[in-house]
Amino acid sequence: MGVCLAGKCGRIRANIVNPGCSTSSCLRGTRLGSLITLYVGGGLRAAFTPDAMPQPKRSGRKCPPVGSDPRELGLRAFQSSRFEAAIVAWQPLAADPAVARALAEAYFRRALGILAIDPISDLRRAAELAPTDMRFPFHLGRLQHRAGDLAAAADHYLTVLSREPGNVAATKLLALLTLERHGDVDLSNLPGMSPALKAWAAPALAVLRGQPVPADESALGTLWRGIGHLTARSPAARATLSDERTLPAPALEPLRRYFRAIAAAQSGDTDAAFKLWQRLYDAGNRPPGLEERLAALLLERLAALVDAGDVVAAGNLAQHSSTISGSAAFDELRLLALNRAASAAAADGSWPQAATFWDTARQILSRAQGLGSPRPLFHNLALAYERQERWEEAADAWRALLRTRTRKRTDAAAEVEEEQRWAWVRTRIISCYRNAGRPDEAVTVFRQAIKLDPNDLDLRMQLADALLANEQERASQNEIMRILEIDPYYPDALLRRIAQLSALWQYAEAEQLAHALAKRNPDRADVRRRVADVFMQHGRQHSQYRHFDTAYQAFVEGEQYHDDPHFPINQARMLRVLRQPVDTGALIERALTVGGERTETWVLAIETWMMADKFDDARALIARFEQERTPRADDYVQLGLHLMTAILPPPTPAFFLSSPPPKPVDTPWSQLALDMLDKAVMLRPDDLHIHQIIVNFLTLPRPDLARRFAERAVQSAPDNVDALISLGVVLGMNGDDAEAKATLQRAAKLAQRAGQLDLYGLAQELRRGVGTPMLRMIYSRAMQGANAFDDPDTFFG
Amino acid sequence: MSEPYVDPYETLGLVRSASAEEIKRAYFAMVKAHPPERSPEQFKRIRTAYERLRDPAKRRKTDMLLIQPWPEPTRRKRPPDLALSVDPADVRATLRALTDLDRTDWRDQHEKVLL
Repeated sequence: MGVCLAGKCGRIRANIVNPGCSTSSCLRGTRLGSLITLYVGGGLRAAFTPDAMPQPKRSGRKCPPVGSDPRELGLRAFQSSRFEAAIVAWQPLAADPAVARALAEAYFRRALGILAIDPISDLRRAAELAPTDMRFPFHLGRLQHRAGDLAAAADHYLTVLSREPGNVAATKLLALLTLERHGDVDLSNLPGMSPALKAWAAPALAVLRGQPVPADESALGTLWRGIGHLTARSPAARATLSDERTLPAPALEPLRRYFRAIAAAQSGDTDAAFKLWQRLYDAGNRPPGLEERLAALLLERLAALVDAGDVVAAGNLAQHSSTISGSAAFDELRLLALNRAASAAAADGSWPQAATFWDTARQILSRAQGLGSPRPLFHNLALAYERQERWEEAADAWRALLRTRTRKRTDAAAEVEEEQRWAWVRTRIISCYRNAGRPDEAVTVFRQAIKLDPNDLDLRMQLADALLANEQERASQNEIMRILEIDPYYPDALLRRIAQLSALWQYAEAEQLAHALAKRNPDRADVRRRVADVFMQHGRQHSQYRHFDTAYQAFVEGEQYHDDPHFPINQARMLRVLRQPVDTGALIERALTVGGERTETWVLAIETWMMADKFDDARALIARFEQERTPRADDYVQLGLHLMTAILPPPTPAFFLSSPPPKPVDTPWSQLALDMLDKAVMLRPDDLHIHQIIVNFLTLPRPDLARRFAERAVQSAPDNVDALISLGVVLGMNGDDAEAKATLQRAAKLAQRAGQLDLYGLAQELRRGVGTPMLRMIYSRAMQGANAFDDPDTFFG
Repeated sequence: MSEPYVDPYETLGLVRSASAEEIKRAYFAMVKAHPPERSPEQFKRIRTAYERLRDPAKRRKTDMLLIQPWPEPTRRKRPPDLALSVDPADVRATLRALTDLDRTDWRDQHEKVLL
């Protein structure tokens, strides 16, 4: 017979080559013809004879392209071991007995493949398709046997043996399975149990029964005899098992080594036993009792190292043995050793090593039971990852820690403390994910947590923060509003809402909420302080826009919530600007009462007297400051520069860049400021840093005043390049061009000698600018702007 | 890359549950024992440790950045004895190696497909 394998060269599927078909498969059909069952339209199957063949309707019809016949497609796939494709191609034709057999073979081969997904289903299907083929129930039994379904496996073996009583493989497996199910039983009545197979099973049965093993001098017989000696705890076991002859099955070789180790341990040589078992374990050969025995020996060794205080060796051993399943005692000791080793590594700064130990400990703990909470491990692991800047792993570890949170605490104080810790962890998750470039992940974490506990407002607050970090401002605001819907006076959310309103200049509404919040939380100093901050911020904003009356009101209202010395100081300043009666002394006294321990308060108070042009009061306050506080050099610098700032002309960009400074006018105030700076220098005459701060501050606005400080700096450090550059600039600003150039030249030489190329370049550039307006510009640029002059807040406390 | 790990409680010779008063007392005792003029480095360490613990908010943050101790057992669990007798499972494992149960190469059972 012949056939067109393409199958579409007409309605005829002939037993001869279709003369109208020119495809190569059609030609090849002649070769395969005798083996192929004919097929018409997927339904009709017949052994066609030429007489039975319908004639083609149209002669000369062209054969369609090769490969569209499912049989051929399937065959090709099958031959190239693509059983999946073969099954798909043949499945519709399964009613054809030949195809059914082929399909069963495809299922069979797929089931026995390394990457089989569901081999038992495949074998069942194969058995349905070819019920007389005993390979399929045999392997079904074998796979179910391996999977532990012994009853089903036995049924399949019996099916095979009922058809094929002489099937040795099935009989052996049935014998093994019977021993596994029932222990020591009589196997002689099993179907297929020939004398040869009885002899095969006899040594095993003898060992199980504690009887002498039948005499057999072969390698296998010697192995059985050795096992028999082990069972009897005979000293001969070690010698018997030292036989090196090749065994009939490769799988017996590791078993012989395993038994050798038992023999060694029985004779007291646990070191040899440990080595043999360890090698077997490392090689992946793991007989049933291997892990338990190896774990027992490892535990002994680990305990010895732990007790000897060998933290590193104990940690390494626990690490190496981490995959071995052992007793609770072994797990407990491994955790202890790993944690100690991790802590030691962390203390040494070896954070990668510490992370490895803690991660291993975490894995062991996840498999163990009753050994404690994983919290410390997650915590430490997160810290170790953070130290290595492995942000995503750190965030995951913090997240895992968060999942261990329980809510069973009853003590209110402990609850608050615990809550603060969890809040810290959540913040940490956000910052780690942010560092990892994954703020979205933080949002996901909090959304999941909120699903579990929708009324946890603290969590919702954290979500709002995470949304903000993820640049989802509107979503963050919505979350704040949701919190306020649940609790309209939830402090954190309400403060956030107040900040939003303030940003929108809706001060009245913001202040109304702030008052209400403070009223509801009279005992919470932190809330009152934050409410006071709102009024401080509003007051400063108002004063910047010259709304001094509303600014004054804000400072008065803020003061009732928090004793901040800035409030009375600012009230005094606002009232003075408003030209209203003011008891400046009383307000200053109030500020000093609440903030007198800080130099800043004294400086602001003295500055306030200066703004009121009360020179004697300022001097008196300075005297009191010196008496009560014993100022250090830094305090005098702070005070002197603050006073100087207040009396210098207001800053403008032109002031720094091109126009010459206004003609300096010395007043008692400038003299007072200078006195303070002199006192600072007197207290620390050799402190170059203090000299430089003063010189840098004064050079642009008052080069005449800066000169003596610059000269003193160079006197105390003649070879300091920075000091020389400063002096050169100051000299240049004062018009001493020749001296300025010489000083800058000297600075350049010293910088070059010291390899300070940037300073060398700067000194040269400045030297070229001496005598020109460029000197100011170059110096301004080098100083990157004197920020102290730019800050309007320095004019308000 | 990162700052070295220092436990301020260890520096001041304290347990983590020490009260604010105990921290203060320990600090002054340590400063007395290691005055800045005599051992400036030691003093610096003591001072830094104290700074991390004196303020409750700072102390909370410090606590969270410290390695958490693993609760070590007061008495270790009793280890099981090393089993040195031959288990029936060992015997069955030997017999199993003499069967086809774990065999992986079944090519001899492949049948030719003829269509």
